[in-house]
Amino acid sequence: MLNKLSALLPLLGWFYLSIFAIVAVRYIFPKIFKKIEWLIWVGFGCWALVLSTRSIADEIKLYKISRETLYLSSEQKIIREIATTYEIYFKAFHQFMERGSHINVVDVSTKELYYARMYLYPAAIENKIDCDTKNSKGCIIHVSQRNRFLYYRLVGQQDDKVLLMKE
Amino acid sequence: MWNDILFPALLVCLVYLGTGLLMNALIDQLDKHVIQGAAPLDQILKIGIAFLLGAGTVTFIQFIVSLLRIPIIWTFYGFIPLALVGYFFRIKEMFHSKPHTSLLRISVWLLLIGLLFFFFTRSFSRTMYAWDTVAFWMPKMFALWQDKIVQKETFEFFNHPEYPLLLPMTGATVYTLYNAPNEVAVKVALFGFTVAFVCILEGFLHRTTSFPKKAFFLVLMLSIFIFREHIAGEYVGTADIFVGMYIFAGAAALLSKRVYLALSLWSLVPWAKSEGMVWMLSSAILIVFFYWKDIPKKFLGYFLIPLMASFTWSIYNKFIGISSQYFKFNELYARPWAEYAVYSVHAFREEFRNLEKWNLLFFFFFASVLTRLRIIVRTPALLVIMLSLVAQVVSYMVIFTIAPEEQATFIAAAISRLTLHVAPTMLLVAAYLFGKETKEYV
Repeated sequence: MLNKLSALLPLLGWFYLSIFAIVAVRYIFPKIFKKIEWLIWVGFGCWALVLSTRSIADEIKLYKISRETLYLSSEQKIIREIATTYEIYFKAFHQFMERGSHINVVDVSTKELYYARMYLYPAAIENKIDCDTKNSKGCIIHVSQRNRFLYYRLVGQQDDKVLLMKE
Repeated sequence: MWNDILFPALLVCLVYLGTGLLMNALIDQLDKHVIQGAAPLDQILKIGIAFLLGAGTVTFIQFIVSLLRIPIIWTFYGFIPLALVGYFFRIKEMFHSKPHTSLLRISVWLLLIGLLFFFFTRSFSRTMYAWDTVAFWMPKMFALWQDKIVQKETFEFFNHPEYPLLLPMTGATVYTLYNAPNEVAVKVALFGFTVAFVCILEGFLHRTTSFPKKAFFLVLMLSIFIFREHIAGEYVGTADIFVGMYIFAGAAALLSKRVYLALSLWSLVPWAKSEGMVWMLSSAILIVFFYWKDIPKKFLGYFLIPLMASFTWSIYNKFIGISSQYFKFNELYARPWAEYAVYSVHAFREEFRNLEKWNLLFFFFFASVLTRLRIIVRTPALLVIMLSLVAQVVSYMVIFTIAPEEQATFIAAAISRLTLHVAPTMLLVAAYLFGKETKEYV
């Protein structure tokens, strides 16, 4: 029994144990609690304020970093965050997308896939190891792979990516 | 450069606020019949509540009207005259009242504006980049902007198609006004929710607590790490903070003796995120139970309007064949669910005592609740809020137990943002229990 109780202590920690202690005093010794109540709240309140002050100081310190990009245009901010993804998928390829067409992006990261899926909407986008020539209407591949798909029409090129579509 | 971003964002915020002021004026007429003789709401609290009410109403009506294939932006433009009527009522009301603001309160607001400046600049300096935002919130804004209406195909390619449209609709409206997918402009519009939250918090604390306690709870709430990250940092552009804000706003309304206003705000919780359905259902049942005597029976029909509205999105989802990926009850048979449930309880035990994330918020909540049980039992508003809080947290434990994802990973990824749904309301309850109105019971 004692073993079980002692195992409980680290699970509860000072946090829950002090709450239990406060509640115990509140109901077992209400008169004493009334006298010391303010001391408990002020004590924990001061501690909370110390933590709050640190947190607010951290927030204020972050202004130095925020200022570096604060005055950039929205497009500059987007490009800074996702590099060329915005230019490739939205500015260059989005205009060729049609609802119901299946487009493959080849071997991209999950994050890039998410951006591609968004910017190429309303086309259905799938991430493939290689271009699925049977089931897709088009592919976005690295420019070096272009010669492998000569029977596909080159629709657009941006940076190192090309958009190929079936005739 | 900033003008073209600020125009769509500010227009969206002003339409939300104006519509909310009109809604608030209408709801106030109903609430007068429920609890008679309730003190008037603090003016700043009213503005905060109006913004949230307006945001929910405008986006929800945009969704409903778009089902008739009317573009969301047309509906938005339709709200501009309604918003102007809202502002007209507000200005008229201001002429009839004698506003008195103390120097102390002005000083508090100067400090709050200073803090909001730092939150805003951090948020404004980057685009949205949280994983969930990139995976589905932002794509939903983009798809809605492209389609101009809500249709079955709009969300089919993205994760969580069942999540509601408060955030995507706001984003799509800003995109349409800006005529490009500008996430930074959306962030400016979303900051309106933060300002509304601060208005509600300050307005509520101003009425219910003394100055030192008000200052303490304001600093405590606005300095919480998870809260800061959701309004200014990594998680801007996710909807969890809105769940927390709507629950919080409804709680502030109920503790200010505005039953219908609270129910209206809580009916918008599921419109912010699906998890809010538990809160809406439990609070609605509890309100009917605890306030049955107060609600005039001829007005009972009006209580059904927000409830029915909150079910609309779920019904639409059923209609188009979308369901949540979390509710796969057959998983229960394949796993040791009792151990999973215990693990979920321990996850929350650990989360509540994480001072780096939450400071001593939960300490003050638990300590104040357990030492003031008598007040809670005697106050129907507190009973409604407390029991709904329990239902909400238990529902998360159930989700952690039955979700198909690997439990530990899922909890690690989700527990802080789920706790954020209830944390602001817990702070509100603690502040109320330490406040002026409960002094007589202690």
